[in-house]
Amino acid sequence: MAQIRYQHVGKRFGAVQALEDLNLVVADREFVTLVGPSGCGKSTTLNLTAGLEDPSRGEIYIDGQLVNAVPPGKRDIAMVFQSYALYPHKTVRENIGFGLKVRKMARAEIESRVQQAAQSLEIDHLLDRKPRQLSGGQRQRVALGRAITRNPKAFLLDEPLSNLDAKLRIQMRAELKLLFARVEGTVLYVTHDQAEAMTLSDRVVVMHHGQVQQVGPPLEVYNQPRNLFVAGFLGSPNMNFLDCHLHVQDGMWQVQGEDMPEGALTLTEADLEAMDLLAHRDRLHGSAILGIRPEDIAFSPRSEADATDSHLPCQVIVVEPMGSMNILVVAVGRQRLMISTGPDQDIRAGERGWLTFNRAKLHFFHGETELNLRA
Amino acid sequence: MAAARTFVSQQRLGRLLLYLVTAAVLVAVAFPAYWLVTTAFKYEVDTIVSPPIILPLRGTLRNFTDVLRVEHIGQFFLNSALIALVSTGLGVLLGSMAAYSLSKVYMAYRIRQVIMIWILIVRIFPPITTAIPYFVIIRGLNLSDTHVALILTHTAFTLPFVIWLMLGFFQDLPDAIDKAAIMDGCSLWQRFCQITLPLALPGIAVTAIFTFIYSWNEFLYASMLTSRTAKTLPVVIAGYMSDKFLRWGEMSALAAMMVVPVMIFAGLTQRYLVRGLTFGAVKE
Ligand SMILES: Nc1ncnc2c1ncn2[C@@H]1O[C@H](COP(=O)(O)OP(=O)(O)OP(=O)(O)O)[C@@H](O)[C@H]1O
Ligand SMILES: [Mg+2]
Repeated sequence: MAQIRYQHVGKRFGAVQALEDLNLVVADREFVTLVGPSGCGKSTTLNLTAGLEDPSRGEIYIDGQLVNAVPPGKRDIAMVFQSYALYPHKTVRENIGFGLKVRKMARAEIESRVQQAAQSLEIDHLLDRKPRQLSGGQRQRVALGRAITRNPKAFLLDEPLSNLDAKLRIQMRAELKLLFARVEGTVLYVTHDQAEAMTLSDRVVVMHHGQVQQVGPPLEVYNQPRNLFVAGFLGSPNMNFLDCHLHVQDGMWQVQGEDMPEGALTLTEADLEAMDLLAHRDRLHGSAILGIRPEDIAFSPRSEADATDSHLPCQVIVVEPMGSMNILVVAVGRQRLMISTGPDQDIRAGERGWLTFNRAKLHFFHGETELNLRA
Repeated sequence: MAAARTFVSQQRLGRLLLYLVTAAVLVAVAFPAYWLVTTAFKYEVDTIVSPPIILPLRGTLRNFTDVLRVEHIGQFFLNSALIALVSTGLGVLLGSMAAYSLSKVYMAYRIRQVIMIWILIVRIFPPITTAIPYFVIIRGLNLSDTHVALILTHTAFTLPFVIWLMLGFFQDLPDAIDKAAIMDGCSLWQRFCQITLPLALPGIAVTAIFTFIYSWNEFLYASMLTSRTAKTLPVVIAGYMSDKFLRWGEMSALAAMMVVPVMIFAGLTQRYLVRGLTFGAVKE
């Protein structure tokens, strides 16, 4: 198993800068996930690691060895493709063993490794079938089997689950986690499904326009997004954003905006402390973007008389019952916010009420740089 | 209700028209074959009477026995088979290799376009325009009346066709399969032989059938470059035509016999024509 290190790696396709100055160390046996919207350079990063593409600049090291000039077959890396890319004219057994055969391994050894991989993926009864005789989930397992039999230094997986239906995807997600824990592989995993990124990874790398936005453990990235993009990308439903204006009044921070009337949200020093913002309090001035996740907003259908200074009037537009929770779309002025509430709270569309923010979970982003003010 | 009936009757009318057209096409395609076979069994007088005999009531095997008695006919038959098989094999192999390298994006799009057009140019000239140069070159190489001469010529003429056809098949193969093979450690040659060629078998079968038929039936160069040792069947057939006589019977008999190997070759390759060989490789 191996460490993978990227140093100032960039890739340009004609006018398109697919990847810009990637600096990253994937530790031995670490599970790192690349997430980001379509076209952000995730597959490009994998292809560069595999050697299927050459970097325009920078160096890639595997186990400390510079591999820029090493051909893909010699890098000892396995790749799983979104489309599975099984050999249609070969049986499952031949598909799984092909990489070993090409490397001239003894036949008996190949057979035992294929058996072992097939058993661990529970496809040993399918070994004599052709790919076209398999279901999508089974093909997926064969593709994984092909990767693990070689016992490579690292695994590269490019959206391996995206062709499965929702239910199977969740099941395979859990199996993948177990599988790679067992084979102790260094894994570089690409997905645009943030649930996969959150559940599988030791660390996630959020990318956008070929640039790394943030690297860190999933919960850290979720709870402390470095900028507006990361905050908006992770989480479902998305984080809510409100344009606002901050000013200090009587030692309290007033958060106001076009859709937030004066006194709608007032923060004390204790609140800033909870948000980790106390040290940066001087930044809390002027225009900013307020971010708050749906689960950190509470809705209460109380009358205006009960309102305190940190309540925001709103009207429920849509109620989406999800079973385990309800998602509310509410209007605050001309803004729409998403809120998740408990399934038992009986709320109707059209209802008016008040929003309370969990003040420890507020995020403020700079109006222009879009950086988290805490960062 | 009325509208519905009109719709149904319109559909019926449409289907009737379709049958009529199909029948017309069938007749147009099948009649020459029918005419060829029946003529092969006709007495000589019956082949030249007017009006022609559409439905012959008497027949003979005379034409066939005459043809089979032609001196060296067995050898000419073998010549045809050998030359067609070898030039098909060579053409498909070399053409596939060329097409494979053109299907990879090693070179700029423009350059590939130029090469593709360049390759096609060979086929744009009417073959007769290059016949004399070929004749001179072959004679200069001391290859007159040899199998090699025709094999080289036929291979050269089929290559553009093979390359263009196979390029289409190769480009249709999913890119990811090739990448998977690269990751499995295959060299370019291993990928070509073990992955790409097997997957392109339907394409190869189609291409091979056409190439074989071309070489098997090719007359112009065969008549120019061979005289006796490497003579092929089309040249023999041409021998039944002269300014003094036209031997319809023997000509048809030999032509009818020539169809048989083509049928066999097509039959052998046909099982590779099954569609959807790549089905299941990638999620469609
Ligand atoms: N071979 C290529 N030639 C030209 N441009 C390319 C090539 N491969 C990728 N690109 C471009 O590079 C950018 C990054 O592509 P990449 O495939 O890495 O995106 P991705 O993050 O994997 O997206 P997706 O989630 O859609 O798979 C895109 O703008 C893409 O159009
Ligand atoms: Mg991709």
